[in-house]
Amino acid sequence: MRPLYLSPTLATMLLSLSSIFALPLAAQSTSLDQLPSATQEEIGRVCLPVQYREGAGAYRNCVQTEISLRNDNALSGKNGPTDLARLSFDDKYAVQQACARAGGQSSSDYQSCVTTQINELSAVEQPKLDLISEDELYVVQQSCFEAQSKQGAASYRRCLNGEVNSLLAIPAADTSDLNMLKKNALQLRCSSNTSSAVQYRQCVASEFESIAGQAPSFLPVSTATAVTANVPQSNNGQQNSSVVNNTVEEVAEKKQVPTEPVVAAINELPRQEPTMALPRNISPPGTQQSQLDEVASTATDVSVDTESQSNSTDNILLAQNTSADATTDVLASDIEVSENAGSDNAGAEIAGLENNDATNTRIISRPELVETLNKQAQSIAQGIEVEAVDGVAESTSTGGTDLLSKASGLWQKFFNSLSSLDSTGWLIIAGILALPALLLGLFSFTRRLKKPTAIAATSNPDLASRIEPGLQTRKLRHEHQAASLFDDDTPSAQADDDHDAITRIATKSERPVVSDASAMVETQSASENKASENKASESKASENKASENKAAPNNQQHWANLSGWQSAFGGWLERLPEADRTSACIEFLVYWVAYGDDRFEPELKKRLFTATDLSSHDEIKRWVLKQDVFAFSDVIVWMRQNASQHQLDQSISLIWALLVTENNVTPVQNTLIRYLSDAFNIGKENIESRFEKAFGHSLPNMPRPDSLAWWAKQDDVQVQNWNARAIATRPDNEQMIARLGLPTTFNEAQVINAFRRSARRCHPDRFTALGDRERALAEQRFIKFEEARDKLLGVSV
Amino acid sequence: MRNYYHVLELERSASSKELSSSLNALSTEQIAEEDDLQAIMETTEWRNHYRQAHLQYEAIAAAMNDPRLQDTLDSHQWVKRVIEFEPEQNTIEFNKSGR
Repeated sequence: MRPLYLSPTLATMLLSLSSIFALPLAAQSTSLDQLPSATQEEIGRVCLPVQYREGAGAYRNCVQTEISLRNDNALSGKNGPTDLARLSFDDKYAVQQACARAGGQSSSDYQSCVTTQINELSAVEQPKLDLISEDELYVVQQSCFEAQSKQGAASYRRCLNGEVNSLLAIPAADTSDLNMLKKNALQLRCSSNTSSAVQYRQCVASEFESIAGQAPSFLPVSTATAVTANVPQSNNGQQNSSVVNNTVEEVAEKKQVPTEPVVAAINELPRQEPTMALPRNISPPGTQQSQLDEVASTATDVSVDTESQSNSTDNILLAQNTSADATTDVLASDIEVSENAGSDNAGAEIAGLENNDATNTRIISRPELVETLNKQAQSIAQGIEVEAVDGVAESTSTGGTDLLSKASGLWQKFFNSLSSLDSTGWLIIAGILALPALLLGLFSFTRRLKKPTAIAATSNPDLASRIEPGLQTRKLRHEHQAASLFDDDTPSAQADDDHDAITRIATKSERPVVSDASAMVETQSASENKASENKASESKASENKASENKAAPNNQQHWANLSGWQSAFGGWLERLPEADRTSACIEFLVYWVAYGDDRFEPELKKRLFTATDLSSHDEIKRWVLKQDVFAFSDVIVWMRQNASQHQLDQSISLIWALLVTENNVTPVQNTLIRYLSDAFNIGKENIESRFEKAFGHSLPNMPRPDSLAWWAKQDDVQVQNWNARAIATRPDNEQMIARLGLPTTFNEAQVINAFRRSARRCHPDRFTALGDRERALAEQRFIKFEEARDKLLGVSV
Repeated sequence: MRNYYHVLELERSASSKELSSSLNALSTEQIAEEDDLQAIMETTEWRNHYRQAHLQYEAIAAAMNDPRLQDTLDSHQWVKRVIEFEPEQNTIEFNKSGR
């Protein structure tokens, strides 16, 4: 930190000024290095940009202004920026957002706004963020992001409290035994399908079995609620609901408070019967809430040694359950979770009792618990929040403001109606669900029947007729190159190099491969062929070129030979097992897009072009590196003729999940995505809308790298980011920034948002029509995004 | 998109030296006609991206010319965009090699 130096002249001036404005001398004479380091850093943050923009003099004035401001605030007892510095990152962000329009950071309006915000904030209870998992924290923060950025710090904190409290009422599946891959899969599946933390936790519980292969065990809610017992308790055993101070330091202090004194204090409370650990809304016997439990009259009490060391846990549970504000936010999905629990100890699992330390507990059997939860969920659905206070249940209308409760109520109704369906009802639902598939199958069938005739109806016959001779010439060149690389693949490898290339067009046997797919296109009528030939001949005659005259007769042969593959790649593809061909074509397209931007090591190219024994993946790479445009064409044909529309759609999704970075679509990627969308019958509007949904920004217009006007509109930094090889040489941190498509300066929220969008693009559910290999590639990509997120957020990996 | 390699009678893989000599050989009329050509092809970064896009246009032209793909959607006006990338226009490489 740069120390403030006061020259004699400046000191004199300041003294004069202080006398003019009657400011206390102490306020003026304070130097920067006398201030606490936090204040120094804060002033530095404010004034260093001023120094860079306007020079040393302006910096000095800025520092003095900031010091004076703080001294003024100290004298008047107002909250100053120092208080702001004590807030957590998220709270501070909310305050700054709320006050951004109030003026500059040094202005009195801004300071006044900050003071108001901090005062409002201090009246709101600190959210129990440390009781939820990291993933849930992300979802909670995302849910409240709008409140954070638009409604001020207090609203943000209230939002957090609402989300966290709702969340804590639901048992959390224990994922600690899952390996990293399964955790990621679970996280991916649930993060993309949920919009709130409650839904996320429910999703984790419900999806656990499908991913882990076993029913989930649940973390006891008591573990979480026990921590809240650190908050001072009042004499009647109720949790003190007074305002909790909200600074980061105080939270840290609270965490350090040992539990023993609290336990001792709670032990002095009137002793009540121990209660079950979960859910919190099931109260001890004697309360009205517990009467709900009594409905399940077969509940079994298990008495365990109450003098064991686990007493403290039990006591804390007791305190929690007798608290006045123990709300009953059990959601309908709890029931669903209980259905997923194992049959042997499901009751214990759903109650969160599968905890080695929990010894003094009461176990409620599963059917009773389900029934109880059902009742409570229905109450919630009706907008009623039940409070259990000293055995008297009070119902308070939430006024329909709790959207979450409404949503869970709707879900419960839906779930109940499903449960009540008889076999006829299920048959009707199955029929309705199967109808789109039947229609799709019918559409696909009729489309395939029509395809051969559609081929004959050329949409751009003029272009076709004019380019046909050149096409054949180039095709021969590519075939020849392919033959030289894959001698055993193509009969044309034996062709004489000195032979006139044009005359080779006429020789059917010299084509690299004649595909079985010929059956599909050979159905076109002879008259259509003739019409095309005539048109091509007329076009050639008008151009009057020798080479075209040569090609004209050969062209007829070509039109008779339309069914064949355009490149040797087609023949190679046909030799693959049928199940692997679509996957090979998708792989070709992925490499085509990647290598189109020169995203390959020159060494790789050298190796592939000299090696003789290559895997099928390497062979695909070699074809792509050869830049065989006819192989590209064959791949498009293969995909259109053999892949379902679902596979075509998901192929494009895979390409952009693997290769396209946010805010950094290269011209090659943009062009190919647009072309593939047309080739795969998706269309411009659809692809642009899908892209915007996936990336959070629109697909840039069609690139025109041949136009100076287009280049003039491009941002220099963006152009540099198109160069993948250059990015690979940058420092690690910059690579991570580029990977998530972030600007050079960014905040935590931007990192999280970019990661979430990137992760969603890689979600395995987006590639259900593709193979395991494609899904594995997407998962690897997801891990890369995770790495970038963790490094940029400073989380240890 | 314009096919500058065709105008310069060069392959896409032409070296900088070949490119310079072709640019120098352009007549005044050609330079006046192709006002963007010189700037694009002389700027390394722009030329690299143009070269990459050139391959894609060539591939799209080949696909569009495939009789089996004649019913492809044309919502991006590919017919017009690839008009200069007719494979016929790209036989220079083939002809120059004397075959």
